[in-house]
Amino acid sequence: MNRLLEPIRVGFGEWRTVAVLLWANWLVAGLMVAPTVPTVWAAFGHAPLAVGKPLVSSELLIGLRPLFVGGGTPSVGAPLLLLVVLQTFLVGGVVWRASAGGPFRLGAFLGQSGRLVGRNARLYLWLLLLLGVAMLVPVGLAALLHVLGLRTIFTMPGETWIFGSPFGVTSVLHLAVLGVALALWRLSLEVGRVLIFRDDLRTTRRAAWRALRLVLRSPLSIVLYAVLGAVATGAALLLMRGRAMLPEGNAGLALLALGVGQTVLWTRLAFQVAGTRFAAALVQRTDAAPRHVGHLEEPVEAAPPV
Amino acid sequence: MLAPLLLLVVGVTPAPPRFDQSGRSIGAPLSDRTASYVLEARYDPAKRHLTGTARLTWTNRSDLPQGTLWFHTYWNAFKNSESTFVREQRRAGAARASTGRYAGEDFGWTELRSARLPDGTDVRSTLRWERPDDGNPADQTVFTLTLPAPVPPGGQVTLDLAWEARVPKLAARTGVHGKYTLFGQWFPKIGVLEVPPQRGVRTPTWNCHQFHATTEFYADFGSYDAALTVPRTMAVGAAGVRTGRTENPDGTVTHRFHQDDVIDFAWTAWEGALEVSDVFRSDGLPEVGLTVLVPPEARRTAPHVLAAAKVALEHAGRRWLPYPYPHLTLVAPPIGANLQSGGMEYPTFVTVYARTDPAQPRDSLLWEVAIHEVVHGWWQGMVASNEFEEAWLDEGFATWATTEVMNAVGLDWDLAQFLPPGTRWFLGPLLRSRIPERDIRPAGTVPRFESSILRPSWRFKTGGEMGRSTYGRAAAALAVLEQEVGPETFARLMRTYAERWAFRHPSTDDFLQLASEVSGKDLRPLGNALFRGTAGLDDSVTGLRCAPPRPPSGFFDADGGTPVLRAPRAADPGGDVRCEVLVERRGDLPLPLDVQLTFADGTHLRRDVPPGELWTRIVTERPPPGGRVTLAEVHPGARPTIDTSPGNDARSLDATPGPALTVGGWFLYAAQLLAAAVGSLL
Repeated sequence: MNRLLEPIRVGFGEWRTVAVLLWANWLVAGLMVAPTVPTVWAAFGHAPLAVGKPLVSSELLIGLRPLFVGGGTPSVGAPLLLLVVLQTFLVGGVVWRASAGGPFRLGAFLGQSGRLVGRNARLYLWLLLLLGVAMLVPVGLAALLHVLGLRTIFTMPGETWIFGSPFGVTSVLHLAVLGVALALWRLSLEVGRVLIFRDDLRTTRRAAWRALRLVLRSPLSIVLYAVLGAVATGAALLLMRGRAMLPEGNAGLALLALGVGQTVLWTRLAFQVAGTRFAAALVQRTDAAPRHVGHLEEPVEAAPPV
Repeated sequence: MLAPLLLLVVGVTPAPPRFDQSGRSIGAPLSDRTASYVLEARYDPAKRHLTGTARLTWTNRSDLPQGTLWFHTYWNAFKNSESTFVREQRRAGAARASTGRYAGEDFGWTELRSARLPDGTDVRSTLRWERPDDGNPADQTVFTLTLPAPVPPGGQVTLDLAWEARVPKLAARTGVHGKYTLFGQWFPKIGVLEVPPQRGVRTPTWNCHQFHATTEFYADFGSYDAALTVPRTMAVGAAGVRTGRTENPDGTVTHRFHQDDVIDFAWTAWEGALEVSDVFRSDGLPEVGLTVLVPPEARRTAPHVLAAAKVALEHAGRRWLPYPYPHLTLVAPPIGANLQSGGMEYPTFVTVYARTDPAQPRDSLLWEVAIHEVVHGWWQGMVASNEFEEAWLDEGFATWATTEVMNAVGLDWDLAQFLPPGTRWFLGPLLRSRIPERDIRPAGTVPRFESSILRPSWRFKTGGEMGRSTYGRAAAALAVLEQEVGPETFARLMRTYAERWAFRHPSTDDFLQLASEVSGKDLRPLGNALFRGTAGLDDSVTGLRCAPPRPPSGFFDADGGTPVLRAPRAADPGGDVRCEVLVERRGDLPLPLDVQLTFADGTHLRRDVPPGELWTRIVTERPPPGGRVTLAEVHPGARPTIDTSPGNDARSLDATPGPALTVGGWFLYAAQLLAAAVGSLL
């Protein structure tokens, strides 16, 4: 149990790290919705008939589509590209915090991020290959189930989402397999990042391979990591439900809802840090990886005396 | 003996039936029975093969001899990728038309084998394919047969048609899905010979259109008698009243049905379906037997469908015309077949939706669709408009009528009910809502630049535009007429329309003529603008601002006439406050547009925007502080139902940050969740 609780404690204890990640999230989300602000204010900024109405109402939701017919729709592509860059950059700092601990200094955080960004990006690209391979398992399973007349949420008729029940035994089992496959990939990625940080590895292909071997040698870790992901999702869903249950209709409630919404994000990001911490703990515990790798680390014979 | 006693106890006295228990009319026929059929069909589900015969008795209602008869063979729309139906579906899309994804064995067809006159003459050799709408040589959904001797005016002809068919994969209300087969438009069906003054024709004219991806149907009334032979394992539901069931030695069962005075006959053969029966009883209305066929996994659908059907029969029976038919069958298709075959109307036989986990106590999706299809029994089932050319006359009416019934029982849309089971517990609060059907109707439309509501269905730009225009927009347009004449007059109009045009074929002009007659107002100009124009409506207050009048500056003539520069001065603090209100109309519907301004001192000012103007600016100058306009509204207290955006019908001087923050807050929250989800993959 402690293998799960300790990372969660660290994740939530690293509030400054989470705040940096939340700042990046705000930046990206803000850029997404910025184009809508003038349209939304023009439509609802002096709209007495919409006062006191929740989002899902005739006055607000029903009128949204015509509102954006002439433009002003949210921007998604460019902000998400920025997110990729930001996340790839910040992940180095997160690994530093999850592995080394100690006092938080923003400069050091950014310094570590900058130091590792290139290698982390390359590692990610290498591990995309692993993702492709790992996905073959759930894809193959879905095909097999389809042949057997059993359905997954990816192969059932679209109308099942409205008329039927998409979450049957088979589809949930398939989702579980998908979750484990994703956990394998994601944990390998996290471990690879930790290895690069800890051992200052330059060869990212080798780091990816070592990470995968380390993870495969510890199947329990994959399961625990999947459980950690499930706990994170469950916690976020619970908070999302709380956010959705809030009454709406005036500025104060809207701001309150926005605040409660941040707890959802905060929780999600804290679990992200916890995931990295889980990987760091795994590396520390197994001690499977040598401190030095490659030909440079091999013992060098002493030179003969002159 | 018990039944009358029971009725006395519960206090329900039904009206005398119009049909007996075998579906035959009691007393005079309700319709002219121009085209009647005796149908026999044998279905082999393993081979997806249907063999059928039809004895057609057709009456020439015109004053001209008719030597050539026009027929539909609807199933040839599914014959290959080059039929007009499939081509249009690929090009413009259409609801319930998945033929674009057909492969090899999925296609189906109808082949006429013989067409014999009573003397044995087979006129099959005279068959000629016709393409009256688009000239597509590959389309075989309309054909003619030429008789050796024309049918004289008022005369009758009897034809024995024999055909075979391959049942297509389920699409557009027809075909096979697993162990479920729906038979709609399944037999060679004679077109409608329109006779002056019917629907404005000047000479007798055959109205027999090809099967298009977006069209429905048009047929004459008649008697239908059907004997349907299927494997014993299959349940059968069909139009009309069940009159017999015979077990055959070959392991099949022949089901017999009959119904007089209907325009069509559809049925389903379904292995594994559950059958639930009930009876609609209400004081002063004829009894109606109800049968629901549901998939076992969605058995909890049945109570919803039955309850919805009963409220529809009650409301429509009292408001417009008592439902005369003795039986109504409602088919809730298996999961996976709802979108292709659910939500379709045939006389005394409709398809609805099925859900494995209906929302309680009233699932708005199940109820809405069931109500909509049942009220089609009036609007098109009895008042039999031409769905090819004037689809709004049935879909617009049925949508309007659905709103009526939903309002009567206090049923609104709750979007949370759309969520799949397993997600409702946490996503439900997010979408929980009560949105009236009347607000849903015009929401999908954009004022102006949509095709006119009244046009042949295949001449809309897209299937989506056809759907928006003939359902929601048309229903909203009807509600505009209702607002124009008042609810009581409109209720009288609809009842009169149903009474006068039941078992006949009205047109848009017939309806507008009657509307003018009943209301005492010439509603044709407004009706033409609504249905023949591109008219739409979004009236809004787009500007409201108040400021002290700007003091004059610049050169002004002095006493001697010489221009003199007047120095800028500060505004007079005790002077009037000047308010400007900008009202705009998007759309060209000729409805009055009145504006009400509310001042800070509580007084009001009403202004009418001149007809034809698309905007107006109202300027007031009154002493502060009471002279400030605090609120400007269009249509105060009586918003036209066709207005697409009710939220912008008023504007306040003070900011209302609540709605903007609510919408903006949700946008930001959704964007944050999206960014977090994507971030978790990096």
